[in-house]
Formats: sequence, structure tokens, C-alpha cells
Amino acid sequence: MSVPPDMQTCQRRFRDAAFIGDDTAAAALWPLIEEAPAVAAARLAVYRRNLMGNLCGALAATYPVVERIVGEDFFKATARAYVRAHPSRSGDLNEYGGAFAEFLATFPPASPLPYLPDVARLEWAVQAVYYAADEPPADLSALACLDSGDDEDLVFRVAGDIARLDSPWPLAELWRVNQPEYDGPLMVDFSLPAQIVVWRWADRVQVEEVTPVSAALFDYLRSGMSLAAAIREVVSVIPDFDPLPEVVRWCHAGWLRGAFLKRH
Amino acid sequence: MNRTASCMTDLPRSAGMGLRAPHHADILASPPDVGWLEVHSENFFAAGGETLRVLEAVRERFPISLHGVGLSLGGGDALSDRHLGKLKALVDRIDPAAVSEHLCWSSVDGHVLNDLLPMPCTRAALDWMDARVSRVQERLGRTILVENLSSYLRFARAEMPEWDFLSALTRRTGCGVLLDINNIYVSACNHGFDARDYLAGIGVDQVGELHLAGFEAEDGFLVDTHSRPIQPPVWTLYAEALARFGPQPTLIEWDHEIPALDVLVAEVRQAQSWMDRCREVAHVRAA
Amino acid sequence: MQDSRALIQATVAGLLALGVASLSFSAVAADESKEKCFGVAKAGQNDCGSNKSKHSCAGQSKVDNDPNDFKLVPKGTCEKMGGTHQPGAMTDGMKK
Repeated sequence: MSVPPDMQTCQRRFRDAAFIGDDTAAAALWPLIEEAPAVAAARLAVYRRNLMGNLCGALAATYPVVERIVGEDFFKATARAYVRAHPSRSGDLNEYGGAFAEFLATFPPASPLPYLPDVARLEWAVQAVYYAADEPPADLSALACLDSGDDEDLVFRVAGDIARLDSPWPLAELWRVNQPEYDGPLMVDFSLPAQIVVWRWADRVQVEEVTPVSAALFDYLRSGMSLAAAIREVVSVIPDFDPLPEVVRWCHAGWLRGAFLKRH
Repeated sequence: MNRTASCMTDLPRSAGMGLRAPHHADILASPPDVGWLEVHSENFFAAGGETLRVLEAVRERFPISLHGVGLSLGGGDALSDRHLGKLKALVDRIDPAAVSEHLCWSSVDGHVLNDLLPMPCTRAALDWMDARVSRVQERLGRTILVENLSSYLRFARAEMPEWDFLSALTRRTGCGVLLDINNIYVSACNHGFDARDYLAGIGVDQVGELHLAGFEAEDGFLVDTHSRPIQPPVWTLYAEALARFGPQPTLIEWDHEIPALDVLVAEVRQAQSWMDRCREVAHVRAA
Repeated sequence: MQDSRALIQATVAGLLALGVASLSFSAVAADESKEKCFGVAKAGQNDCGSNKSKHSCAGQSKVDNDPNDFKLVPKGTCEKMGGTHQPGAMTDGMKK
């Protein structure tokens, strides 16, 4: 069955009038509308603010820290500019706003805050982790069956509900001091870069800063590299690094959720 | 009191309320005395995590109605397989008492408008929606309810009134009607038709659920904002709907400026008392 | 520089000695575990993830609309946090 042409014309003209919203688009809609243009303009305004309001509201729900940093008015104006530049492609509003970080990086009014795109990247990752599929219970029992000589072949399975970010900005700190429940001083040392792990514990999203060397070890394990190879890579740069405390903590935190032997 | 399930859904014939995020914790901590809860399906499209945990916990105590807002049943674009797949997964997971969507479109040429937009009431559009509703019901393996909108503009050259469109859609697809009483009232005021004509245009056996909500007045017309208590004329129209359709599962919707839980529960009680009164009247008449 | 072979053996032996092999839990967990949170250093947790839902079938009311686009000056916590800065140099020696 093909789309009824008249219906499609109605919907296209309605979209143009409600979304683009200029006089030409509105004038093209009026002949298809029952209400007289004088009445219809105010009615159309309801749809226009619904479209804009729903999408801007979705952005505000996904990016509360960006909103807090720039203030409500600036955020709204920025969100409106984003909506005009990036129409929605999904009926699920949780999928809207994935290009916001990219947009902020090229949005001239946001240029005084060069860390803002990274904050947005972090918040998008927080949302992804919050909604990620549930992990099966950890199973590290393979560790108990290791023979001597197996050390080289031990590989971990890293949890899927984890995101990693690196930033030249103190991202974890920026996030922490802009949480609604935070009431300490808003002092942030902007000279500190950050390696971040975003993870989930008992359904709550955690934003955690890790050291550069830990981040590197974790990234190697996550890429599927054996523990032995990952340790070699890391100690070739930081010779006195002791991986044991980190790996133990990651097992307890559920970042490493499976262990197996990879035969050559 | 007759609280048996409605014939079109497994919802109890009692008053329920929309489950909204600010109330999640309160409702789990001390479940209110309401018959059932409705959620917006898309708010629970996550693959995992807290939102689904909350819904599953709530599901233990209340019948759940899944009310969709993003399928674009009347849209010219192909139905989104992803969207439908996520809805199907949620339906399978929650086993809801009812599944509903809207008599609307929200997507054209791949551009999604994320709002509920009015349909041109033409025979061709009816054919189109007929096929789409049937596809959705096939995919979900169950019938759905389709709800009338509040509208602010109407497409010209309509070939039938909206109630005939909705009624015919129901007859042809086997879907049920989710009749939003507030939306009828708002649209009747905005477009100058008699709200009673709408009620009369829907078959008594076609309705599976009723909605009630609060509107706001703007210059010369009404807007369906779900931001305040149900207005007196809407209660009056609700009583007329009950008289025609019998006591149907009735939902209180409140989406903006969401009040404390007890304010919402008081609205639910009021709807329940209208339903109870309707039953007494029917009882007296039968006697 | 330590012998990496020995370090690897010590790490695996350490994992065994610390009982990691018998860990079997699901991070879904009960409410009590929400309190623990592991004494994570420099961590924050997102409690408000579920306090806002994006979808509704209601219209927007007239208030709360149309901010003035010409006032595009950030005025949130950015001022108190120290305004504008150049990015710190990446000191991460591990990145290749």
C-alpha cells in the first residue's frame, strides 16, 4: 500500500509550518486547514512550542550538568539552536541529542567554555550507562582452575555497562560540583586533565576518575588483551606500577565480570 | 462493587493513574489505593537498569497499561521496526493489561516531530491507518487501544468527522477505543462541535478505557496541558460517557507541574466515585 | 625495572589469594548495596537518572517559553567555577 498523496501533502506542509515556521511555510499550510489564517496562527504556535518544548526538554533531561554550568536561559537558547540544526530521527526521545557535544564545540556563543563539549560527552555516556542492558552475574571461577603456565593466557571480560572517557579538563570534578545535592565550594582546578570511568552499581551511575596508568591497563583489558600482555605494556612505561590492587578492585566493582583462558 | 476486567483489556473497571517519575519511590514505598497504573511506553525502552526495575516492581502490585506516544500510527513514513521491536520487548517483559497508542502522526520524510499531530479525516487516511494498526497488532500479538487527541487545527476537506474515523478504524482492525474525555472537550471547544456527538459516534462496545486530564485556556481556545485538576465541564462529560459506555477503566493523567502523590490520588478517588455512582444508577434502573 | 614475568605471576597469585575467583554477584543488587558504593574516591553518583521522564502526551503550556536568543551569555555555575580557561596539557604518558 502506498502513502495516500493528499495525506502526505498535509503532513509535509504541517511539518514545514510547525518546524521551519516562517511565513511562506505557514502560508502554504493555510489552504489545507479548516480554521481561518487569523485564528490558525495562534493555534499553530501551540504545535510549534510543543515540538520545540518536547525536544528541548529531552535535552535538558539528558544534559542537566551542562544546563547548570551555563544557566537555564543560555541552555534553552542553545537547545533551540540544536533542535533547528538536528531534527529528531526517533520516536524515542532518549535517543535524541547524541550530537550535542559536537554541536557545542562549534556553537560560537559556547566558545568561552571550551570544556563544555566534554561535559556533554560525559552526560551522554552517563545516560547510555544508565539505560544499558543488565549484566549477567560475575563469573570469575576460571581463576580458581589455573595451572602453572596459564598466567600468560588469562583474559578478562569487561562489563558492557561501562563507558571510558579521557578529557584535558577535570571532568569528574566538573560533574561532581554540579550535582544537585552538592553544596560545597565551586572551586575547580581547570589545569587537571581526567581519565574517567562511567559505571553502574546497583542501578546507580558512578562517575569515577582513575589514574592515567590505571586507565591504560583497563583499556588494554577491555580491548581483549590478556592480563599478562596488558601488564607488560603498562610497566614498559611506568616500571614500578603494581596492577594487583586495581585489578582486585575492578573485580569487586564488577568492571571485570568474566575470566577465561585464551589459548594461542 | 463490580471490578471485573473490561472486555477490551485486562484492566480492572476502576480508576487508575499515570505513573510519573517523581512518584516512583513513593509508590513503591507505600502503594496508593488505586486500581491500576499507566506509563508511557517509551520511558521504559531501556535495555536494562533502574527504570525497568521500577516498572517490574510496580507490576507486582498493580495492573499496568502501556501507553505509547512515539509510534506515529498515522504517519506517512514506514513504521519503525526498531520502535516496534522495543515496544514488543517491553510488552513481553511486563505483560501489560492494556497497550495503547494515538490517532495521530508524528513523522514525515524521516523527520520525527515527537508530538501527537492530527490526522486528515479522509477515507484514504483511514485505509492507511487500518493497515498500520493491523500490522502493529500482528507484531505485538494482541489488540491495542487507539486514543483521540486534543487538536488545535483541523485539516480541511475532511470526509467524515473524527469520531466516525475512529469508530471505523476500530470496526476494521478490531482495536479498541481509548476515549479521552478531556480531549473531546478541548477539541469540541476548539473546533465548535458538540462533545455529545463524539460520544454518540463511538459504539458502546468499542471503548476499552477512558482518560481524564486538566487543560489550560489560551486566547480563544483550550490547550491540553495535563498540568492541573480536571475541570468541572469535563467531569460532567465524563458522567455522560459513563452513562453511555458503562463503568470503564479510567485514567487520571497529570504530566506537567506534577503535584504531590496525594493530590493525584484524590483525583483518582473522585473518578472512582463517579464510576460508583454510575453503577448505582444502572442498578436502580435495572431494578 | 621489575621483572614483568614475576609481576604477572604475582598478580595472578594475588587475585587467587584474595578470593576473587569466588566472587559471584550481580550489580543489580538489593537496596542496601546502594548505600555502600565502595568508598569510591572522587566518584559521584547519578541519583536523578529517573526523576525526569522525557515522554508525555501533554501539550506545553504557554509559560516557560521563548527565551531571548539574543542573551546568549552563559550565566550558570561557570562564573563561580572560574570562567574560561585553556585546556591543561595532556600529561597522560600512556596514550600513544
